[in-house]
Amino acid sequence: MTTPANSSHGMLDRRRLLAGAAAVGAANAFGLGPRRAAAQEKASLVWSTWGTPEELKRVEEFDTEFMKRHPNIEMKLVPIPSYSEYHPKILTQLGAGQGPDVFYVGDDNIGKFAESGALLDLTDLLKGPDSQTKPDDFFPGLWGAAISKDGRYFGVTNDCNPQVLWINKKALAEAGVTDDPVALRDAGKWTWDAWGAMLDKLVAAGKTGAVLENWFADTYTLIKANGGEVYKDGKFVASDDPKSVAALKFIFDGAKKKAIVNSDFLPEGQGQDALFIAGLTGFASGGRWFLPTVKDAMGAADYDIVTWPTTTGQPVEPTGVATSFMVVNKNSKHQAEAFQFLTEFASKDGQLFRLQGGGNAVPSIKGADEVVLEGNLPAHAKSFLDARDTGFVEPAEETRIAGLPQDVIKALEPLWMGQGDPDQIIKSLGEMVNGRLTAK
Amino acid sequence: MSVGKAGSGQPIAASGRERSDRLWALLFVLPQAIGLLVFALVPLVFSFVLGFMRWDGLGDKAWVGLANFQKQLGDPEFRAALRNTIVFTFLTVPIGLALALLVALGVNKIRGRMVYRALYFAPVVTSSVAVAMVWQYLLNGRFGLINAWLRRFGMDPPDWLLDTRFVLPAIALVTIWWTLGLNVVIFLAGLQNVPVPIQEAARIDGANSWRVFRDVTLPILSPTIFFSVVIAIISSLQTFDQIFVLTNGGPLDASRTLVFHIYDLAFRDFSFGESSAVALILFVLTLGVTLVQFWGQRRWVHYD
Repeated sequence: MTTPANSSHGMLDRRRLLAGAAAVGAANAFGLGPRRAAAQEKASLVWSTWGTPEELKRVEEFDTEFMKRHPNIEMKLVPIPSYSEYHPKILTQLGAGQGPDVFYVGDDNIGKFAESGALLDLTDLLKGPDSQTKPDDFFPGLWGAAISKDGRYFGVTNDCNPQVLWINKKALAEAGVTDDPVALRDAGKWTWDAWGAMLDKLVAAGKTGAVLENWFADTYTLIKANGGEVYKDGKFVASDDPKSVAALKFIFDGAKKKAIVNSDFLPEGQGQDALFIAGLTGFASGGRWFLPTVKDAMGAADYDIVTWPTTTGQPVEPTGVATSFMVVNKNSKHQAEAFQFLTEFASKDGQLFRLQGGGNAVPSIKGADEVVLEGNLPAHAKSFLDARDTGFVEPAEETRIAGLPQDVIKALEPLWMGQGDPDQIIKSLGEMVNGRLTAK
Repeated sequence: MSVGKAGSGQPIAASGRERSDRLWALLFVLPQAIGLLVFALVPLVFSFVLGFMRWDGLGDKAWVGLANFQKQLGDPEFRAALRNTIVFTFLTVPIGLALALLVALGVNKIRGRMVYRALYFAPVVTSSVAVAMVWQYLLNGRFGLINAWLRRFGMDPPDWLLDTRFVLPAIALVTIWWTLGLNVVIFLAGLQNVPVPIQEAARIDGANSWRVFRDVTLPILSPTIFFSVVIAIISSLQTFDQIFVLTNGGPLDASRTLVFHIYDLAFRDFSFGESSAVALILFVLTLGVTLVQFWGQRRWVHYD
């Protein structure tokens, strides 16, 4: 085989080769194309995520399949199982120039990471010919701060988890609740009054009404279920909008009479899923991540899910969706290979592979919904899809300011404990958030 | 080989040996010195400099002078952290050390002292996270064993980790339990150095047990007590693990300590400059408290 370097026109071809190499190098240096391993070189990439052992096993299976398809790419998973430790460790690694090539970023951190300059701008790659994840393939409400203010894409949702209400049918029956929440919703009668009456009966029966969680997916879903707004024109309005304020007071009243319990206040191992399985609560808010545990511990007839009750007359209002985003390190030496992994991981086929067989999440990409409906687990699994289709992720206004999502949670703590003056808590919340937005 | 004048050769040879010894000594010290430099001194200096800069951990750094210190001194979270750290120190150090001294005196002369020492020391060698997890169960308001026990007596106990009034004492209790064994072992070692003849001489002179303890044992034990006080105060000023696992600084910052605040600023707010500024404040505070103790020890610590 003749190569330019040893052909009879060696000098000329060598010059051409060098010129070509220089052009490619310059293009890469100026960011005109993703960095890629040399043709014969095997690219070794590190990627990181959090997750339970079961979740990590599933992604390792994906890695194995990916490497079979791409023998020139080696993917090494370096997991950081604990979510609370995940972002500090990734941040430290990136700061030291040692970050993984591909990694997850949580929905509460994506805004800050996207603005940090540490992530590769994926816009052209996502829209390019090699992409299996075109921006239009994803549900529009799930991007959040992964899209910058000027419309650039810095991550894609690898999957998602719409927040729904899990129903323990046995607990409801033991408390004397005869109505089925799903039937009420289908009849257009799934309102806060109906739900509140059930919560009261559960409390009277010595149970917890609902174990919810103090975070955007529950708090803001309740606000929207009451027709309220959280942000408007870049300003936090939940503390002024009467419907939003009423929703926040609904939480306060529920917490005060112990009908609503914040899962943050439960000890490790006695969380939402444990109380739910034990029949100590009638409702628990959560995503599809409960399914693997619940289906192993309960009979299929004993549990179900339903979208959140509303006061607006609509069967479903916009619902909070937990997401994580897959991103590429801007300093990766193998950007092309990293994107290849990202686009396959988040693609329709990738999500089908990872979420099949009672998986713990819901596809964020169109055309893969069958994994949620397979086996009818839970019976009304379609509620996940209904919630996702109208879903919203953690507001970009919040996640672009480091620490603000956590500060909102902290400011709402007394409300979720049913302690103090709710008007003052809500007023202080509004002042704090708008103060942080203005200070930025 | 040319040799110097008679009588001058020996000192030259000795000097050469000394130089050689010094070089060998330096060589042996080098690994430790490099470790100290890389893992302690350089980060320390970097942290000091960072206290005067704005940096999010990823982007460019910018010099901001004293702005980080000004911002933190006016920050309610910092003030809560400082207040909590001081309260926590006052809760854990005197009670913890007094309790350890009592236990040490109790087990000093009984049979099976080694067994007691091992029992009391067991929590010290247990992971702080494991300790915190166990206590999270014990202190839980709804399911906790402590409240279940208190309810048997008709009491209405608080939710220890969720009540702003009780969370700090609850964590102090955990910390005292956790660190008791270390102080007991140190005090037991100190008690071994108290000469029995002096104690017996005091008894022969008519001193009762309390006076023997106050006027003989305690003065001889005073260097050990001083050492324990210094170490305990420094440790309590650096409390983090228990807070991180048990309460995450809550509820409503009621258990936020300075080191937790430093962590929070860096890894939640991405504000490494402010975080380093607080670390510097904590360093000065610790140094100041320790210097005051060294100054004050002349009045009550007896080395002879």
